[in-house]
Amino acid sequence: MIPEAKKDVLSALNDAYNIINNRQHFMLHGVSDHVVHVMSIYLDTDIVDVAVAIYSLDKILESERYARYPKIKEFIREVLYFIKDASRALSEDDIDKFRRELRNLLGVIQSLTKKLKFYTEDVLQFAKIKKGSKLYEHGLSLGTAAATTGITKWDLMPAAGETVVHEKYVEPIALDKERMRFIKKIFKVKS
Amino acid sequence: MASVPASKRKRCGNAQSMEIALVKIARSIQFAEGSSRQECNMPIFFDSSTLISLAMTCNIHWLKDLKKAYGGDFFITPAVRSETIDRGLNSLRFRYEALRLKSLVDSKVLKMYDEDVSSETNNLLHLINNSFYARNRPLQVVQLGEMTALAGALKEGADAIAVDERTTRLVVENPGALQELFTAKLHTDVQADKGNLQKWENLVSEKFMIIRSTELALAAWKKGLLVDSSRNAITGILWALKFAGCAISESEINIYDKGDF
Repeated sequence: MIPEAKKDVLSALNDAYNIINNRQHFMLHGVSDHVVHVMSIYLDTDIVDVAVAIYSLDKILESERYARYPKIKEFIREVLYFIKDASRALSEDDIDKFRRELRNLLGVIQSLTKKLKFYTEDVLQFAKIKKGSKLYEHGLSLGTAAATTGITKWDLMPAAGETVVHEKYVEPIALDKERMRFIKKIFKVKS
Repeated sequence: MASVPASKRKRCGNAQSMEIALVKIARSIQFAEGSSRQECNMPIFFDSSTLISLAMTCNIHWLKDLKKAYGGDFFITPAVRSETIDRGLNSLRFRYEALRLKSLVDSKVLKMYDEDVSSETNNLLHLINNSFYARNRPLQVVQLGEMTALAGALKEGADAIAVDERTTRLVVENPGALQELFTAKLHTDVQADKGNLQKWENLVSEKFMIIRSTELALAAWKKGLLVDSSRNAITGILWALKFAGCAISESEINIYDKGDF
């Protein structure tokens, strides 16, 4: 964990804990988005794991299938326990324990989503793709976004294509007469 | 000379830049005079983003005919091969698309560019990844694959590089706009290292054209390579490429849609 990012990550974990504990699940999305800003600057895998965990919890807790799951109280209890322990470990600079608790948190999430089958892919993979797409939206290249979140460009490109990310900061080639002439010329296209 | 890999030619340092510049000038003259492109076939380098959008929309078969019309090499670097074919083959979801791309490499439509461009790549990576700073940290803007394609294109004095993703195109054409994008998106002050940016621009600015899968689609459409020659067909393909991740806006598709390519 990069020391300068510690404050942001602690704040995200504590916010997530309070939101889940107070059943204000709709607010998790904002916390997850804030972590993306920090992720874009530090490109740290621990921060990626925190963002992926919070985004996955947002997706799970807003779904109706979750509400009907009989062991949901047990799941929430475990989630809160691991978030609190990860936060405590990080505040005490015990990075090994922080990572262990984070892995446990991701494990609990994965285990639940395997039982409930939210998506064909598991929810953690889905969250990684969404977070990777956000990194790309924030200005990093596809390669950087894919490498940071541990996914492939194959996964990332259609996710980016479904967003409005290319509606801004993309100069139209269609209006560049010199380039259009060049393209026609090299491929011998008749006007 | 153009089909001989750069490292096989005798040149170094400034002489290399001079040679590329001279080739470009000679080619501009030929270009202006309407000479055959077959005589001056500099390569086009492909980034993985363009290959992925074409493969996902089942349109890679155009490349064979477009290459024939072009008369030069279509190169991919080992890093681009790894990102497209190797990683695709490891995935159940994208394995078939990766196999189709592999068949293009096997049939030499896409040629492997095996020249060593590691020092040029590292230089490019160092410059652009130390050009923008947030919270006093350099933003790691791009990765190896994207820069190997760029390094190869620079070394060979390529005509063009095919890139569908937005950031690589921005760093080549308008790196200053990235600072604006970062500041807006990261909600923090982003500083630019003007020295590194200037060195970067001296290296890459106006050295080659950037094209995307959408421009390849337009050329393919005009050459009658699509199953349907109607305007509906090209509109459909442009949208499919956009949804596959090609950096093109809705308004630009509308320009192509209404215009006369």
